[in-house]
Amino acid sequence: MIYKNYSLIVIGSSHASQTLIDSFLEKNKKSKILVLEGGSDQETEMNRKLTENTSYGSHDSNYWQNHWVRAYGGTSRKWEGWIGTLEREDFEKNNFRGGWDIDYDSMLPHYKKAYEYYSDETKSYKYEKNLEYFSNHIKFKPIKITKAKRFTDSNKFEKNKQITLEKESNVIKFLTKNRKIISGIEVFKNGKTDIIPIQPEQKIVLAAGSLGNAQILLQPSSTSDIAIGNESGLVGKNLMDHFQTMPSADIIFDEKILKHSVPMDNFYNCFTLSKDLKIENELLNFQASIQQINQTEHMQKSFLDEISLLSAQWNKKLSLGLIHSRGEILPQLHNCIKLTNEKNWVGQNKFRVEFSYSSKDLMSSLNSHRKFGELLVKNKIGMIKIRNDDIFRRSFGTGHIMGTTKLGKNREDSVCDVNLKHHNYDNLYLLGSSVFPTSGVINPTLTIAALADRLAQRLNGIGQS
Amino acid sequence: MILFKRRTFIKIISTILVSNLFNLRGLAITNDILEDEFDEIIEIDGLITTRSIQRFRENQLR
Repeated sequence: MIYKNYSLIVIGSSHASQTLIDSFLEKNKKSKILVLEGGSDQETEMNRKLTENTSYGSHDSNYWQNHWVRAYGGTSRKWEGWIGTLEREDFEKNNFRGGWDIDYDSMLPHYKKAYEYYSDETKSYKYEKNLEYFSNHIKFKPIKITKAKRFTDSNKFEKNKQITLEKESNVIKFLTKNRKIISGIEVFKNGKTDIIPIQPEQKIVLAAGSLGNAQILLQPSSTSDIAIGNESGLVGKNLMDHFQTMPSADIIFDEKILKHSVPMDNFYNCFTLSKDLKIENELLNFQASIQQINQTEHMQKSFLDEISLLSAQWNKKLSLGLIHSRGEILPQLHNCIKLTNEKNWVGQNKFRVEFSYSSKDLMSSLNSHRKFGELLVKNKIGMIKIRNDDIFRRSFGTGHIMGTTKLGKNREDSVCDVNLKHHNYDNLYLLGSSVFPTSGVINPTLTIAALADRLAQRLNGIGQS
Repeated sequence: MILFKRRTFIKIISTILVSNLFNLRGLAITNDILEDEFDEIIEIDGLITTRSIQRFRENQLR
C-alpha cells in the first residue's frame, strides 16, 4: 500500500473523526484520507480486551472499559444523545482553575455547525436565559434531547473514494527521528506489527478517545526514556469525568420556573448558576434539572409537610419535584492514567486509572444546591431539601471521559496548542474530549464536534489562531 | 447606621399609613417588611429555609 498519497491520516473512527472528515471534505475535494480504526464493525471479545485496565478510586476498571469502545463508530455506539454547548464561563480562567485559551465567541460558529450535524433544529443552540425572578443569579440553559446519532455504517467511508478505511489496524505508538516531526506509525494489523512511514507534509489526527489518545502517547520509546508525544510529561494527567447525583434534592416549586420560551418537548430543563455567583462563592459549574412528580412516595417523608405549609404562607399553588444534578470537576494532576508493564495482545502497554472525585468537587455541588435553595426561598418561589448523604456517598460518573492531553497556549502546562497541534510535533494533531482543559457540566459531544469542525478548517488553512 | 434606622422607621410608618388608607391589615404587612429585612436563611438537615418559615412551621405544629 502506498501511504504517501494520503494528506490526512486519522486515527479512530468515532464521531470526532467523522465530523472532522465531513467538515474537511466540504472544502477539500482532492485530498485523500486514511482512517485507521482499531476495531471492526462490531465490538468483539478480542477488541474488548484492548480496553482492559486496572483502576483505583471512584470507579472500577469496568467503568472505564464500558465507556471506551474499540469498534467502528467508537463510543457513539453507546451515548444517549443529549447535546448542549459549554458555557462562556467554562472557557474563562478564574481564581481557582485555568481556562481554555480559546475565545468562546470564536467557538460559536463551530457550535452552530456541530448542532446542525446532530439536529434539525438549530435556533436554540446557544439558548441561555437569565431568570429575572432569581435576580439573574440563575440561568435557564436547556439541553437538546436528540435521537442519538450512531456512527455504525462503515459503508459511508468505504463508498467515498477520497477515504480509505482500514479496520482492525491498532495504532501502538508513534515514531520520530528528530522530536519535531512524526516519521512513522507503528500499527498492529493481521497478526503482525507494521510501520506506516509518514512524510513531514502528511498530517496525523489522533482521535482515539481520552483514554486511547493518552495510551498511545505514553507508550515507551525504544530509544529514549521519554515517550514520543509525552515530552511535556502531562499526557494522561488532568483526567476528568462529570459526576451526577440522581436525585440530589427534593423540591417544592412554583411552576413558573419551568415555563420558558423554548419548546420544552425537545429539551431537558437545566438550571445553572450565574458567573458572578460562582466566582463570589468559588463554585464550580453546576447543573440542576427539575423532575416534576405527582406521586409523593419518592419524596423524603420529613419534607412532605412543607408543601401545605408553604402554599398557605405564600398563598401559591406549588408543585413537587426532584432535583437531579451534575457537577463540574477540577482538572487535577493526580487524576491520571499511568502505563503498567503488562502488555495487551497487540503489544501495547496496558494502563492503570487513578481517579477520585475530590472534596472540592463534591462540596462545590453541595454549596451550589445551597445557593439555589437560598434563591428559591428568598424569592418565595420554592424550597429544597438537599440530600447531603446522596451527594457525598451516592454520586456516580457520567462516562464523559475528558482531559489527558489538554490544550493551552503555554507548552509548560499543556500537551497541544489552541489549534490542537501537538506542541512538539508539526504534523500531529489531537482531537476529542482529551483536549478539554475544563469539563463544564454539559455532555461533551457537541463540543467535541465543534472542535472537530474547527480543526477541519485549520487543516484546510482557514482561521489559524 | 443612623440613616438606615431612620429609613427603616420611615418605611414601616409609611407602610402602616398606606395600608390603613387601603384598609389593609397594617400589622401583617409591617411584619412582612421586617421579615424581608431581617429574615435569616437557615439550613436544617439539608432543608434550606428561613427563620420566619421555621417559626411559622413551629406555630402550626403546636
